[in-house]
Amino acid sequence: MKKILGLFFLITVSIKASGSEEIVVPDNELTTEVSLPKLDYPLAVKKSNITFKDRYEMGLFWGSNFTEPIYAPSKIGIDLSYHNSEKSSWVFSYSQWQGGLNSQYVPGIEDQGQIGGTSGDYDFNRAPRLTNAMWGYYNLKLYYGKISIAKKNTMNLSLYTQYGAGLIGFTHKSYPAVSVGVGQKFYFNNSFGVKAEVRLQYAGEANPFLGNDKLKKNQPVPSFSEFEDKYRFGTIFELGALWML
Amino acid sequence: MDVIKKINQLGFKWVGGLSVLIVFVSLSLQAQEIDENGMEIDPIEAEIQETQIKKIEETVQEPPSEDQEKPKKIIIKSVSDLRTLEEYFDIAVIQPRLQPKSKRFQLNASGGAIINNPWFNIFGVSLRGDYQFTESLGIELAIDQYSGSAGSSATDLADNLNVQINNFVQTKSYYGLHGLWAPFYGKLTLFNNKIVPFDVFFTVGAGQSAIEGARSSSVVTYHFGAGQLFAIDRNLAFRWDIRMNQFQTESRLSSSSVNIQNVVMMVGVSYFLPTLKR
Repeated sequence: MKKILGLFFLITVSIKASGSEEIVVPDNELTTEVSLPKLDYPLAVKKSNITFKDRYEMGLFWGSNFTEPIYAPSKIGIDLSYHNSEKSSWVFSYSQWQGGLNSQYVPGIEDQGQIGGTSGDYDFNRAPRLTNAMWGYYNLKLYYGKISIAKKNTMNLSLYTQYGAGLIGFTHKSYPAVSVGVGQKFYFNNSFGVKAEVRLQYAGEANPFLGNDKLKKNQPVPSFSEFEDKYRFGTIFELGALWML
Repeated sequence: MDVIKKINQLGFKWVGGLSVLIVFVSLSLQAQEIDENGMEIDPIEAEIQETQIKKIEETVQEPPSEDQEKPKKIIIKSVSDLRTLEEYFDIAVIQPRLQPKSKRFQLNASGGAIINNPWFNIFGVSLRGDYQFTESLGIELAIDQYSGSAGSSATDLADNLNVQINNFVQTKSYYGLHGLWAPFYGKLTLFNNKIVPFDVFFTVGAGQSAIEGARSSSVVTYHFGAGQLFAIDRNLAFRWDIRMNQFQTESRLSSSSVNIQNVVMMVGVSYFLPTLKR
């Protein structure tokens, strides 16, 4: 009976090893280098959180021409995009300039009318005003990825180059312009995100620096046609929100 | 006969023992526990859960002291020996960063321009030395040198309105010490082929700018910047950043103080020390 009970005890009770174990693996079994497989058609992202192809995108933005000395440099606008593929999209953009003059530089320059012995301040309100702009862009998406926020949440983002052509509107006429730039978009979900773009622009304008004292307040007001056409480089910065439709 | 008797006795004993065993097992199977919701509890599953809880508790215990018995050595000679190991009940896969930054120096050389000056075309070079205490915190020593030429607006202003360009403030150099914070880490794919890890960082600090066109030649400057670092390999990275250096001075054009904000965009390459094996 004792033997049976002993056997029963052995069958029903499992004996476990206690404490930690040190595992020794021969060195020649350990990997010494990592080599990634070379695939004929490597695919880094199998399933994107954000899909783009055949989708429309609407945006609102604020922008600034960093190198505008005379006119107020800020603008607001809207844009509409169509993503013809996962990598590229076409954009139509319309923006309205703030109006007025650049408060940082213009007061100091207007005061300079007193210099040189001739009387009367300069008045840049006599120059044609910057009114609006219309652009068409082609965006080429180079990178798509994700970013972790505080190790808890992730956001998707894309980095793209941008190539554009458009028209800059003044009070009396419009001038052609071209631009090239880069931008980044951050997506909170499949529908909403924000963007930041920097662009180098080459555009025409009515040169506000009209000579022969015609800008002075005590002189007759010149006509807009007297302001020569000038083409200059400018740096445009835009921040905006976007909605994927 | 005695032997036969003994065998019979043993046999009866075996039968009796087995009967006890059968009865015991069947009773234990029938005696299901009932929980507070009235559901029957599977005792085997309960025992597994209890074992797992005990394992979790054991892992957070203090490591064994020297007086305690040394851990048992299991020598793996072939793949089949892996079956002798204990099963994992909790597995975490941690991928190492391609380009760790903790306790490493970063030497950066960049080129760029001040992109918001309407009067001058100002280009510059920048040298930065960073040291990161952790993956997200570090300090930076910055040296920027700029060179500018009059733009078309300044030339027209001088030619048509007789306003001299030396009345406009131009930055010649900047030296500063910044704090660095890199809270965001991410990965990008290049045309869906290659994966590129990157960090987003912010810098804030102060320094000194050497300027022209103002009543003083050197001003205290406050700095704020943001940028991205794209890893090329374990020691090399592509870096771009956008920086704002702000100072206050009296320009020759105006008798009152003016706030000057230089927005600088730089792109360059960073090298990390000590180097890691590729």
